[in-house]
Amino acid sequence: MEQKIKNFDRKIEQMMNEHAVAPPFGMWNRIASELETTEALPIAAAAPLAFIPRRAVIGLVAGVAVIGLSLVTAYMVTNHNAIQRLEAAKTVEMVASSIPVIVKESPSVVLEQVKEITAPKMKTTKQIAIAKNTDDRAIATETNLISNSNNDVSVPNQLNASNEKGLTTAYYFPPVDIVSPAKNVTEEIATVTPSQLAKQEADENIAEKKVRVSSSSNDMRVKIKRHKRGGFTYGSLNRLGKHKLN
Amino acid sequence: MGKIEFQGYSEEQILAGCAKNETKFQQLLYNMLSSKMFAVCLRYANEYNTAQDLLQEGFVKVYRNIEKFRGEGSFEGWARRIFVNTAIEHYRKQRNLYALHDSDTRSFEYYEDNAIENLKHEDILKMIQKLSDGYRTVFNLYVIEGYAHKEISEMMGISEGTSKSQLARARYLLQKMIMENSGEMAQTLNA
Repeated sequence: MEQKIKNFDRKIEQMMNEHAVAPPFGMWNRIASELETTEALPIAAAAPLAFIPRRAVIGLVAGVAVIGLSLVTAYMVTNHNAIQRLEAAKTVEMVASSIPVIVKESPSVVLEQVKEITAPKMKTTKQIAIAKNTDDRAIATETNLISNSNNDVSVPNQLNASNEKGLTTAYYFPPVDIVSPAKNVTEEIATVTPSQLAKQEADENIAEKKVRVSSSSNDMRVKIKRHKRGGFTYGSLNRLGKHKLN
Repeated sequence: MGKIEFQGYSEEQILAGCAKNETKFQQLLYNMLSSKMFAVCLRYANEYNTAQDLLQEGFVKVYRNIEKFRGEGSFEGWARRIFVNTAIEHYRKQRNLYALHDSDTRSFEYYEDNAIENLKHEDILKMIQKLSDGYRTVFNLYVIEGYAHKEISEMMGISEGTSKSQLARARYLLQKMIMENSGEMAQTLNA
């Protein structure tokens, strides 16, 4: 077996070693052109190295790299600060927006009711005086009338008194009758205390409310119907005209 | 050792001219060795175009390193080693060698010694080229170049066992192809 193998190897070796194959045409030109290019390359590559030493080139590259890195770092740091500032501003805005704004809703309904109630009511002299900022002439006339009854009695001037006291707001000075102390003087105006006035006003308000709530033939009744499924419907309210409600 | 002459120039003159990068002597050396070296490249390559590339690369290496030739042994043998190494380097990049543990020698029981004698050089070359890269390279290195398995394993970066198994498989496949070819030839002759 081994002899067979050896014979096989020897025969193939002989055949192959004797064998020669002509290379393709133009192969030499390919080799020659490659030789020319490879010989020319080292000369071209050596030229720049002759002018600048290797150490200088390495140092230059290292310097450029360091400068570049520092620039990039500085840029990143400044950018980071700006971003932080922006983020802080955003946070403040967000906090401000997140704080619930407590809006005191004006009690519009209550105010309207008060207006309606107070409008037709007769105002007291004091209220009129306060509202109209104490008309000088009216006060002067009143004082003159009082003073006409007895010229000898000195009646204090309201303007002077208010000026002396340094009052900026209007002040009602009650008339004083010295001649007839307890009978003819219209003391009723002076006897009305603020608490009584308030009570009276409150009573009137209640009466007014009662009038508004009380049903009449002209008023529309608003009935909230319960829906079959369990919810409420307000469709009838929406459909009602404003004039009908009033 | 007889003096080799080619086209009126001795081998020493040609080598000296190549060392000076003279194109004339470089071309003379090419004409002297190209046929034999191309045959070597064809044995290691699996196709014609690859063999051309190997030939070009090998000659460039020979011209660049010609000063390293010290005159020990034949110049042709030195150049041949360069071409073989070029081929090994080429196939080392795309290696697909694997260890085979079944050194199949059974097929040689049916092998006839005279089967190969009926074949031409070109036929054997085609059969070798049909082998895979690993089989072909190991077979060429061991059988034709005469390297030992240890040397082959070092050259190719494989184990000795792998080298042996690759060689055995290459032999088996070649013998099989030769027997098939001789059988076809016998059928043709009988017909």
